[in-house]
Amino acid sequence: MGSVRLRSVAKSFGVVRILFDINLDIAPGEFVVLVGPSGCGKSTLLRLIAGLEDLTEGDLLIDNVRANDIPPGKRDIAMVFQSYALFPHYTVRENMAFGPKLRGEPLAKIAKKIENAARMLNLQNELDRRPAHLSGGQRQRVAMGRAIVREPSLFLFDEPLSNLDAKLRVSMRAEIKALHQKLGNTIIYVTHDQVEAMTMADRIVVMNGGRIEQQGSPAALYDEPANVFVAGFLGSPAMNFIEGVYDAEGGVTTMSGLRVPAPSRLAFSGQKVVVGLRPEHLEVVGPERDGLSARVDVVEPTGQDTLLHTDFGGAPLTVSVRRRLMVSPGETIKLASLPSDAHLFSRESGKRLDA
Amino acid sequence: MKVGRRYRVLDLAFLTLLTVVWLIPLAMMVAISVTPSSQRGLKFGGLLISGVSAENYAHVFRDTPVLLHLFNSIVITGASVALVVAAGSLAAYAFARMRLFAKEFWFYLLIVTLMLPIPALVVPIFRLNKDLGLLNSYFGLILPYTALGAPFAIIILRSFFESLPKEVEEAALLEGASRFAIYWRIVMPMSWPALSVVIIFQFLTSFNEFILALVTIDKTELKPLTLVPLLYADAFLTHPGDLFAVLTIITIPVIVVYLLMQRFLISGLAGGGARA
Repeated sequence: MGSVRLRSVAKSFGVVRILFDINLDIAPGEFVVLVGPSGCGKSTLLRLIAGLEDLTEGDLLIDNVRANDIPPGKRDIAMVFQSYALFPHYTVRENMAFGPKLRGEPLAKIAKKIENAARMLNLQNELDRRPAHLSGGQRQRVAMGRAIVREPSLFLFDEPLSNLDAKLRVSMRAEIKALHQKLGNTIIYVTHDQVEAMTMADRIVVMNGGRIEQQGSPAALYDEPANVFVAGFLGSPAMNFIEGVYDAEGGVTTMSGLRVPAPSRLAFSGQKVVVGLRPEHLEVVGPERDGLSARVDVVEPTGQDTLLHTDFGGAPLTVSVRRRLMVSPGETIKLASLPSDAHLFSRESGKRLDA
Repeated sequence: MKVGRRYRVLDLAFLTLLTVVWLIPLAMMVAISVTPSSQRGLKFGGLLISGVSAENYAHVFRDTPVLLHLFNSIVITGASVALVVAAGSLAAYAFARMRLFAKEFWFYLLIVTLMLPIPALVVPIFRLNKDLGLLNSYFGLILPYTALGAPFAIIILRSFFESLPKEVEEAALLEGASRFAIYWRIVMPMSWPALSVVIIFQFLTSFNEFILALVTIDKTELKPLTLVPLLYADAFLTHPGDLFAVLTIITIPVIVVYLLMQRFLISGLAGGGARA
């Protein structure tokens, strides 16, 4: 229960096309995160699945039944909104009881379900309060409680943590993940926060400009991004990109004549490429070693890591190091990287170049 | 902060002055209504009174069926308020949230009707009422008051409904609520601030309306309270105190309704459901 299939789904608002040819299969029990920059269509896609918007083209199948024309209330879906969307004139208990009462479930059963949900979400003492008297985190938990009481086969989350402060966001992230492990329902979760995507998902779907750029497990997307967009979107600080030409010796010569080691893909020699280097894959080495010479512009100690924003022959290069480094702006440092850690992309198409 | 305080003092002085000017006629009305008829030579238009007496009120309740007229007013006003809220909110919800053919055209047509004052409509409404056989009946006033009040209600409620967070309604939709259930259980309870504006305004205009009531209702026992001063004009000419007692009685229901509704006006009930 709780499978979703999208077949060539497209969506337009008037003449503006928001989604193009979306194909996606979601298995029962899977935790799928749709991630992408604002305006990429991820929320629209979620609203299509919820039935809050109509499909312009294509088919939506929920549990192998074509659901294009099934009204939202009959789709066996619960949705948690970014704005919580609680009913302000009802208490927490009444908020959770709203749906089950409408559907005519027996009162004793409803009360039991609310008790369970409240215990799971630590809301027992808040049941008789109105949303206005709750904190942001509590409100979001009430919204989740309302969804849990629905006992749906499919949970939809639309940026549920965006309105919470950083600390609360981290703990709610873990709570939602724990909830998924406990209940085992399918979850489709929309966020623009790549950290949320990486930490929570079984599978990430990266969207951009109304299209799916890539989908796969968090590790697969991180280690083998299909294109420059995905490579730059996942990871914080973001991957460094340096333009150059792939040479026959298995390296990339940059515009300023510097050389970056790259994996051997001899088939591409002579091609214009973009080489991608993750900040944590760059190592600061002693001056006696071979490596990339870069001038330090800014040093950002975060406590855990130190970020160095450097200038590499005119191109910005961010380096993340674990050790405490005694470098100051203006200094030149040597950076080493393994050829296998470098990602190669075509400069024309932005696509990953694999052997 | 000094500047702020000085402005606050000025604000207060201005508002006090305005309130005093505003209240003088009302104070006169109440003062004369409690001055016994034996007392002559009213000073400052009756504002200075030497004693309080309920004599005039006793006269009014003895000589005229004030309570009957009050009852008529309450029935007519109450019905028109209920109808305006029901019809107005339904129409406003449709305007705010549903796809309708030529929606904006109909809406602007409604706004145009706001520009017609009741006196301009007295003759057409009178003829309509005559043709429909509604002269000398409550409905002869209830229906026109409702029709004339609905556009204002629709405009106020539409903009309020549109300002409500859409996600709250979508959440109800996903729970399986029908359109009507969303309107009735979610939107209406969240709309008390706007509904109270509509209720107060509709109550005021219907309760205080005079001209249409004058031409529509001829039967004394059906006349609303506003017609009482005219109805018993002869008696009141010799007893101005009684007249002012009646006028005071007329203002009481309006004040009561306002006091009952005002807590909803500033109610923060809409807060907390969704983040603004």
